[in-house]
Parts: sequence; C-alpha cells; structure tokens
Amino acid sequence: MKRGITVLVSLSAVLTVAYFTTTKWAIRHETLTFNDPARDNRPVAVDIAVRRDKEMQANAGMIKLPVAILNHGNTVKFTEYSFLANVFAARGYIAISIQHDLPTDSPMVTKVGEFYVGRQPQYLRGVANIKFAVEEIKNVQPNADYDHLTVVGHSAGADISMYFAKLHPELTKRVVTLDNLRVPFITDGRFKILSFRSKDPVFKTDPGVMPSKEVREKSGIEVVQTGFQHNDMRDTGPDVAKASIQGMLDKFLEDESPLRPVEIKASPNLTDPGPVAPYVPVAPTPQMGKRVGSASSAAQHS
Amino acid sequence: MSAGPRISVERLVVVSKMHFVNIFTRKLPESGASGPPAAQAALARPLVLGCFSVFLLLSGCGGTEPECDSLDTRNSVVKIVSDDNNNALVNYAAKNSSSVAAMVDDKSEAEKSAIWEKAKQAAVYRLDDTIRKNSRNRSAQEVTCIGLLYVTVADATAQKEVEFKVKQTADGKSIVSVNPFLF
Repeated sequence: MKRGITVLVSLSAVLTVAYFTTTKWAIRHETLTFNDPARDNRPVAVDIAVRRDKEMQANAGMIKLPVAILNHGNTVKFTEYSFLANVFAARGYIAISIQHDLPTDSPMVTKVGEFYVGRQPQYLRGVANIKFAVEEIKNVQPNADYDHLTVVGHSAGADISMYFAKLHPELTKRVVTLDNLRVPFITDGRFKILSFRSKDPVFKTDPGVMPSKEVREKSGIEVVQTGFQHNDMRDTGPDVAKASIQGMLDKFLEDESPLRPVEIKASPNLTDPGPVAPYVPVAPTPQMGKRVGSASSAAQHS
Repeated sequence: MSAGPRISVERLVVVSKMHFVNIFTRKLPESGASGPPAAQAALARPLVLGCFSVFLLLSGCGGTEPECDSLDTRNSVVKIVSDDNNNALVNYAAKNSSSVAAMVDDKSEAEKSAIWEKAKQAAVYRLDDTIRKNSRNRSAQEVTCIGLLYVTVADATAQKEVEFKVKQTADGKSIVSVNPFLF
C-alpha cells in the first residue's frame, strides 16, 4: 500500500515536471510587433510559439516548419489562445497568433442588410494582417512552409480564418474553426476543415453558414458538437473544454493524408461576400429609447 | 570597536525555543515525547491565538474590492457615455446610418443639424454582458475594466471597447470614470 502511494506520488511528480518542462521550456513564446507601411504603419503584434528543438532544426536548415495562423475572437487578445498555440507547437508547427484589432481602429458598424452583419471590413483587415504578418515572419524564420498554412480561429477569428481560406485557397492547407458564426464553410473539399461548435443560448450560427451533413461528409468537413459555451473556447475557459478541444485538434493534425490539388486562379474580388444569407440585426424601436442594461444580442458580439 | 549593550546569547536561545513549537506534533524541540494533556493544551493555546491574529491581519488587508460588473458600475458607464450627446461612438453611428443620411439629404444646414441631434438623442446604448478586468490596484482600491459598448442610431449599430476605472472610497462608495475612445 505504502509502496503504491509512493509510486503514484512519484509518477504525479514526474508528470508535473514533464508538463512544466513541455509548456515552459520546450515551447518558446515570443511576441513581436511589425509596422505595416502600406497601412499607415499599422502595428501588427504577433505571438510566436515554437518548440525549441524543432526551431533549432529549422535554423540549421534540416526541416521546414509547418505554419499555423491563430486568429482571436472579437475583443479577445491574441495572447489568449495559448492552449491552441501549444498544441500546434508541440506538433512541431510554428504557431503565429496575430492581434487583429487596435483601440485606435474605427468602431465596428452593423446595419440592416449588410453582408456578414457588416463585419466584412474586419475580415478584410484580418486577411491583410495575416498576409502582412506572414511576410514579416518569413524574415524571422525563413525555414517554414508559408505556402501551406493551417488557419485557426475562434468566433470572429474563425470567420477571418474561413474568409482567408476562401480568398487564398492556394495558401491554405487546413482550416480549424472554433464557432465561426458568419462566414459559410467552404465545401469544395480543397482542404481539410475541423470545426468545434458551441452549445450556447446566446451565440447562434447564422443561417447558411453550416452545410448539411451530406455536404460535410462529401467535402471532408469534420464538425464536433462540443456542448461548451462560445466563450469557453479560449484560455479563460474551463480546463475540461480546453483539454477536450486540444485532444481532438491533436488527432486532426495527425492525419496527413494527401489533399485534392488546388486549381490556382486569381484571387476573387475582395468585396465578393460569398453565398451567405445576410443576418439582419434588429432595428431599434421608438419605445426602446435611451436605456441601460445588457439585453443579449448574439448577432453583434462574437 | 565600541562596546555596545551586551546581550546574553544563552538568553536569546531560550527565548527562541519558546516559539519553536512543532505545529504538527505540538512538541517542544527538546522534548522527546508528547507531554501531559495540560502541557499540550498550554502549547496549543499560543498556536490558536497566533492563527487568529494572522486571520485578523489578512482579513483586515483585503477589504471589498470594487467590481467591474456590478449593476451600479454598468449603469454608471453607460450613463457617463450617453450623457455626452456628442461622444465619438454615437457620432460614428449617426454618420454611418443610412436612414439618417437619407433624412438629411437636400436639407439646410440648420435642419441637418437638428436631425443629427434628434437621431443621437434617440440613440440606444448597451454594454455587453462580458466585462473583463484589465488591472487591479489593491492599495488604491481600484480596478480597470474593459467592456464592449454598443450604440444604435436608427439603422446602424456601432460597437467599440470602452475602458473604465472603478475606485472604491473609504466610505465604501464606488467612483466610476470612463476613458475616452481612442479612434
């Protein structure tokens, strides 16, 4: 009995040390800020997560690191998805988390009848941030595969990811979304898509975003109904939610089966909204007046 | 070397020993076995008193911290912003409203101004359910918080993060101040 407890305690200690070694030492996090001269020197901050041993191999020219781009949700910071970045880094990726919005950015405006509830400018800004950040990171780490990106995102960041894949299929290898609510899934089967869905009374997917089960099966889209809430899918979420997402994501990344060849064409018109049924926000009624409080409006915040 | 007050080393050791009680066994260091119950109780008493003192000390340090997400705080934030009828967010929403734009079309400057003002006065403000604590200053009894603020003017809703500070005064009241928008 006593020996059993000793073994158990020792094992726990070893596992704890291993965990901290992996997260604190084996994976290196670095935050860099680049300024985009094409956009009034807009600062674009990125957090890079990479396994030290893989980075050393890449620096020596022995390997090319696969690249994952992480996109945060609306009002969430780029550093709040380390639970995802660490999964990619542990698998040998260079994980690049990008800060998309700034306090100095204009407010987001939603209007009746606008595509993607009026969020298209934010998606286009996100795509521009990704392209700029990738070009800059190429100078920092040239030995990585920037032509086959895995784009990942939560909420509005998931929509940016899907939108990026739509505009740049030739650069996209995989898409991982955590509750994209506005931009419809790409169903041409060009790349693998994994999507975690929330079970949330407030945050609802817009009509036309989620393809039917038959289409998903044909297109190789894997959808995981998690049962977690929309805002659980980030670092501040419960451990059980993060562990579950990490496990399934790790399994998804294991699959290296070949992709369907991509036909490279000119990028579609950036203003092309795609086949989405625009969500119509509720217009204020006269009796609403000036009020305070917190009535839910899932359509506007995600 | 000047001769200072001489302190007996032996005396110091004895004083120290009085406090070195093993809190798990309740034994004095030099005693090999547990003493009689009366002696144990005598040893436990300072321990209990000590713990109580520490508890009092810690509870005195804490106090109640100002809250980012209390109803009063939320109402104050919305009131501060909406009381300024010319705040940047409502102006932005009004400027981006198609229906307001249609109303001011072909109007004189005075009429335009009146329509803008009326539209902004009818604006609907809402602070998002999720409020994040950005920083905390225990000594100053204040927290800085961030939330998403929505302003709807006619058919347009503008949303932007608003940063605010909640400070608790000595008499337990909360003072809320809102940082200006940076866009």
